[in-house]
Amino acid sequence: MSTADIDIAISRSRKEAPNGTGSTERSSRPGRIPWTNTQKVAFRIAFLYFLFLCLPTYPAFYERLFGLKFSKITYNDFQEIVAFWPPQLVTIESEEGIFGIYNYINLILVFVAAAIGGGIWSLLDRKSTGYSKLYYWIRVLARYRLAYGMIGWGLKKAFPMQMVYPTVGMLNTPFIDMAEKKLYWSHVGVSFGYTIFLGFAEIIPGLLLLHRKTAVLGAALAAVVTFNICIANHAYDAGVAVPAAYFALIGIFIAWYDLPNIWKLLVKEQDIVPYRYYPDLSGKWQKITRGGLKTVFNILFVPVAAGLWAYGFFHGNNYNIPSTPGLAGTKGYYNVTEFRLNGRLIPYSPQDSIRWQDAIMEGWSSLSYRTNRGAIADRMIGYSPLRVKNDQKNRLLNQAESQNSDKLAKEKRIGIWG
Amino acid sequence: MSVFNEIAKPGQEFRTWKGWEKVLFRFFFIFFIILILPLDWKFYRELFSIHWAHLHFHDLFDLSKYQPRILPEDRIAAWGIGSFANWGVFILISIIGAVIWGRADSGRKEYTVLYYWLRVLVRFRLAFLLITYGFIKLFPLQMPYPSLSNLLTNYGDFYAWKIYFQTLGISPKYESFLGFVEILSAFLLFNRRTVTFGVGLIFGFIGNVAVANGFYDIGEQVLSSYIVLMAAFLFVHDIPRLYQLLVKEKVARANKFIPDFSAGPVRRLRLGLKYAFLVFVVVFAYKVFDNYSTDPYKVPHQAGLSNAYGFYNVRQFVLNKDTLPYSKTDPQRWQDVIFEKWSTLTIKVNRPVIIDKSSGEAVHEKDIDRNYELAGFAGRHYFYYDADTLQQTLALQNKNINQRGERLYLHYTRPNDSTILLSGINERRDSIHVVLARVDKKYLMLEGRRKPVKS
Repeated sequence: MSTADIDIAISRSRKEAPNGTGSTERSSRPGRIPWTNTQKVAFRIAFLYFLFLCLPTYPAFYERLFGLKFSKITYNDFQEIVAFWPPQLVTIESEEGIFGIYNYINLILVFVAAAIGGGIWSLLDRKSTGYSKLYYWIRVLARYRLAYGMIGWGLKKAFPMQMVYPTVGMLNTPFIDMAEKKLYWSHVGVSFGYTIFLGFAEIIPGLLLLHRKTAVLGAALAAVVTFNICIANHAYDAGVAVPAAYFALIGIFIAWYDLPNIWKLLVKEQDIVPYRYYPDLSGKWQKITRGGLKTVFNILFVPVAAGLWAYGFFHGNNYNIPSTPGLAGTKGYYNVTEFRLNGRLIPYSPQDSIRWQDAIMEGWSSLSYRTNRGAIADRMIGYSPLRVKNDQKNRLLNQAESQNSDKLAKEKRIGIWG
Repeated sequence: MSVFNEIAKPGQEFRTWKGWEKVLFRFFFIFFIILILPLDWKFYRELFSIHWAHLHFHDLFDLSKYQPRILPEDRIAAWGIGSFANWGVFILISIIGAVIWGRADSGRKEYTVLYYWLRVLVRFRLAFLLITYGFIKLFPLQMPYPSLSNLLTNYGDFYAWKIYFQTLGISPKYESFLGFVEILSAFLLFNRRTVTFGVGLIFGFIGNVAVANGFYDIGEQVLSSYIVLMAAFLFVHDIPRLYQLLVKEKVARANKFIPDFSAGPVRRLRLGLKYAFLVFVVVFAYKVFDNYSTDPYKVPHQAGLSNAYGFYNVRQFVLNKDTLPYSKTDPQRWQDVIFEKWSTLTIKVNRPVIIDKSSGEAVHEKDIDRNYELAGFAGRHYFYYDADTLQQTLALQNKNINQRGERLYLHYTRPNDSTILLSGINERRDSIHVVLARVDKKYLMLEGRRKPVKS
């Protein structure tokens, strides 16, 4: 206690002496203890790293953003804004899709770039005694990036669309005939309640991140949740392991600021005096800008986004399910009791490649049937399409947006695919 | 009680507790004492029925799930809020107890030392549970890899809990990872100062499992609520100081009560507890590993007919000299047959299965009783068989507890590697003659996405 107080007093006088300006930052502990060289270098690298990670760095993002038609906005447009990927410097078209395990190279390459940038910065900037202010602002960026991302992904589940309740077709398909990712998603989709719970497991950390006092709790929760998602994605080849790991990294970065003091308080059992640095934003315009930005963005990405998801969910725009209604009263599983091919009766046989064995009508305009004939499975996984190098024949299957029903609906092309 | 009080150093200052703190403490103290201390005689019945010379990990696993039961088992609802009836009674007892205690002990200023010991009790109780559940996942026993019959069952023929278990079961590495997290959080509870970090992991991972228990009717919702309740109770200790530190941004006071274990009896008690727990962990881990590597308890043990493993189309089916054509609706005509790696044969036929509604969790010595492979499934009939390889006969008995009476006696011949001929009598004493042809098919789940698209 007492030693810490003395530290503050000393650091205050040290900092104030050379430039003579009075303290403008409001905080009982202004974070002015000069940083060590290691801290400064580490900060510069971390700053650049998370700056690159938290800003959308590919042109398609901005093209989409500025190409938005306000009359046609759906939850999907909001999702595309908050679900931007970390910089993709190298796209390795592996069999696992673009977000296969090789994709981690991008997180590493960005770090290398940040390390180089941090090195140059260290050479140029030899005067700074600390970066409390910059550290604050990079955390603001990281917090909002992670918060809106978590809330977006959470809303997909709070209005259970991401994990579909198994269709009649799936219910009548053997377990082993589904891809692991489908099995993973379906085991969640089976339970509406559990899906909604998982949604809130992402939304609540997101909401906690919006407030700087609860940010550390939100960041730690987000890191635990997304780390588990990352491992599960690897385990079930579900395609978004790297983006989940990316979220976990940001969460750890945000929590890092408070962790040493939490550790000291709980594990070392030491009393802790307030230590957080806040920049002075008490000027009139600063207050207005801060309040305005915060209000606008928070309203857009929380209640408005939630409203759009709700609207989509309750008005038949469930992006994973076709929206054209099926023949009324036909939904169900059918045995094929009679099958004629060009007038010729073909008896039932599980071995026959033409004779239908059974047929299914879904609640929407899908009909499926089973014969003993192989199908080319669409192995598109979430946003991570399967890509096979030089495969021209199956191009459509390998396209990133072959299943983006929202986009297709806007272009009125859904009939081709539905 | 003096032994327990010795951990307070002379001159230790205690903060005076607020009225509501004392009231809540008295309630939770009684409640946890009832739940944790083995007061129920049934615990001792289980304890003394263990054959320590042939200790099975599952005996200890069952003990770790102990909760006192005061109401008769058959009067308690299996699902929903009703399954918490015992807790309701204990809450009532705790309220009454807390009121009496409050009257008798009204001059009391604080319960710091007693609170410390209650936390010790809860920490060890929780760690005990996490260790057992952790190790049966670390060595993937709880959700074994599904059998071929399980994999070839339609998704709609599963109970929700079975979908949950089987989905975890197809990824043993992920299951091991989840087990590792449980064990890690148990060890974080082991040290007073890392408890809150352990609680964080419990909320993040096991809280998830607890919720799943409720939504998937897994049937352990009382137990998983118990875990969450204990974790929450442990977390309460640090909430005020974390709130001061992070939200109020005022001076945060660390825990000031550092127990002193230098006195003889209490030191021995502590060491005894610690070593007993460590010994338990080692013994349990070894026993689980042993079971996993030699005889996974949910999977039948005896090897099946050699080289028969696979999925067979029923190419021909003759019933009392009538050849029945392929049919999905005929209640007699078999559609397909699966030979497992162990001595289980399953048949798909349009005859209802009376579903085994158990969880398949119990340990059974005999293969016919090992019912995990059929618990929670419709769609196929599961038969245990005894093969006589000299006489080339199979004696089949239905594994389903509801249909045990079904027996088939079949003679088999194997004209080539992929064909098996069966003839004999079925469960209705009709004569049957069956031709099985192995189907070699590629399955999406096993193929994965790592291979190029074939057309």
